[in-house]
Amino acid sequence: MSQPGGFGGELFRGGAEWLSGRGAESDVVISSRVRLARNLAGFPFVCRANRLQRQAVLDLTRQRLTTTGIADRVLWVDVHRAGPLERTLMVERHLISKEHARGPTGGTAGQAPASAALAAPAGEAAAEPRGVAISLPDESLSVMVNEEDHLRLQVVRPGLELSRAFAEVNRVDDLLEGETAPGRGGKPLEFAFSPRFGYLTACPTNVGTGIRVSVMLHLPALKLVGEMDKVRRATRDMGLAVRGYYGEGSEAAGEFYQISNQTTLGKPEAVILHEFEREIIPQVIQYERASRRILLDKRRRMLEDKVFRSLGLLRGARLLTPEESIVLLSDVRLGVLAGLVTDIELATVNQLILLTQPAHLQRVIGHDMDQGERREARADFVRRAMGAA
Amino acid sequence: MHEVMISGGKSMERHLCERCAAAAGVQIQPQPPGVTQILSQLMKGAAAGGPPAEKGPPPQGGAASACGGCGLSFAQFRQAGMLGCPQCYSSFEGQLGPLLSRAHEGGTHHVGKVPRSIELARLASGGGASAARAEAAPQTDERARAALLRKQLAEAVAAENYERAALLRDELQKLEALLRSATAPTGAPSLARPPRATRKPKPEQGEEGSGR
Repeated sequence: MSQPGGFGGELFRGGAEWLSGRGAESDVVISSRVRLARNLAGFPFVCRANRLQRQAVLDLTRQRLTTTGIADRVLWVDVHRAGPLERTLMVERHLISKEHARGPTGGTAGQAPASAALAAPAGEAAAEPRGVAISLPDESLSVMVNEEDHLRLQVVRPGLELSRAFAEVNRVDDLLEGETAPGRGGKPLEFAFSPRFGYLTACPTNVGTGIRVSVMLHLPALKLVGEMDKVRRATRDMGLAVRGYYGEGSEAAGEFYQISNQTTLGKPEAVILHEFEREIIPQVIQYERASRRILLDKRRRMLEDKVFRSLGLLRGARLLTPEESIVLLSDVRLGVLAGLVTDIELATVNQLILLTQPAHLQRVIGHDMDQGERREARADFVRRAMGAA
Repeated sequence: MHEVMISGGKSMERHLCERCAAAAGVQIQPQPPGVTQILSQLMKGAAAGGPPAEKGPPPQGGAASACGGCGLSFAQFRQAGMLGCPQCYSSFEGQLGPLLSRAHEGGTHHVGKVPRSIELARLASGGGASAARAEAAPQTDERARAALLRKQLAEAVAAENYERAALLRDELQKLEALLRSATAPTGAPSLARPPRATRKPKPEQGEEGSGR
């Protein structure tokens, strides 16, 4: 157990494990995420806490997170002290939320905005004490402190691996509130819990188990055959949320979708996981695969045209935005999986999705750039990665 | 839009986009709202002084205009969508109950993981130092939880979803074991599991690192 002290060296320079393309059903499922929301007993929720109380929560949880053995190596980051590029890097790697990067405001995307009484004053939000613990080197575990809840524990795995992700996050949850050997781990955390309502959370939409199960899917063929709206409706009928690549409030980019549960009260964790892993997601996977077969068998020329046009653009463009990149990379990913594109590795396409994001691009290139420079550098970087001049 | 018309014993199927369906005079069922939308609508309705969104039992302990723990009023909660502290759940229990039930597909009680400390306190609730903690988990809640699980189990069996039924059965058995142990006489064999060690401050020396 150790704590590298910051962002030096090679940290966050390469790709992310959850985008490695490994894991079950990885032709359709990009990643699986399980998140638990927890709050400390005896403290107001983050939106109602003053700076001293937030600092006290941060001190208590940081000590526990960095000394209890939640991972072989743990990186702790004081997010309020991190620079804008470092915060954006962590957002792009899905280690922290956009809200956590900005600072507490008392409200979340999709919710009614916080009242002025609850919100931190504008401009001061970024300085509010908050942090994140990240497991190294795989970054599969991250625990946000003082986001909407005192603790947001999440494990992200590549492919469809929800049970494993839950087992891992549950182990960390137990460690945080459990007794440890004398002299290690500090004081156990006592979580706010009610016999009726379960784990108590700032927003009542998370109360109960506090669990959010989320799967990121790549569904380009369903979109091309015109069935995506049907999938959206069916999943919403089942009480699930469908979001875009960038999470809450985002539209689909490049046909990457996140599907997650919304019900957290009245259903055990095991049943929520079972519904996802064994009932809902396998159906969507089969539906996407069937659509890919239809495209290959009956609309092959159209599919080839779509894939090779996008590949041509990626290999020839001199200016690229992140939005255009992800749309084109999505088409090429489909082409690789369908066996149409044979000279590009799937892992290369997956990692480019991340490395073309603004902060990662600057990290890879090695210096800060304005938007115009980034478009040029992005196009150059993608051309080289795609084997073009 | 997927429409099946049956006329004169013949079935005709049409696939229309929403705009064409509207032009063809086909009524489109609105999307069922998500949890967040339900919550937001319920709160907005109440904030606007409209009729109560849900008929529920009279507020129990929820008549308080402000939470005793943090001073948040229910009106502030309605505006922001966020509660102020853990005690808000008991302060506003009467108002929150029906709202949560609607937002969580009928879920009224927590079913699932319980913090280890509380679980052990319940097991030891026959007496001893942990009894005070166990009082925080009245059996009425356990029985409501068991009833909810039995209902879900019956639904899973009726739907021939035996994998889900097995998971629910396991959860129910755990809960029933807890209920049995809680009603067993003090010192009964069912309390053989030792209660959690009392929480004493641990010596701080030997800990690694201190932050960044």
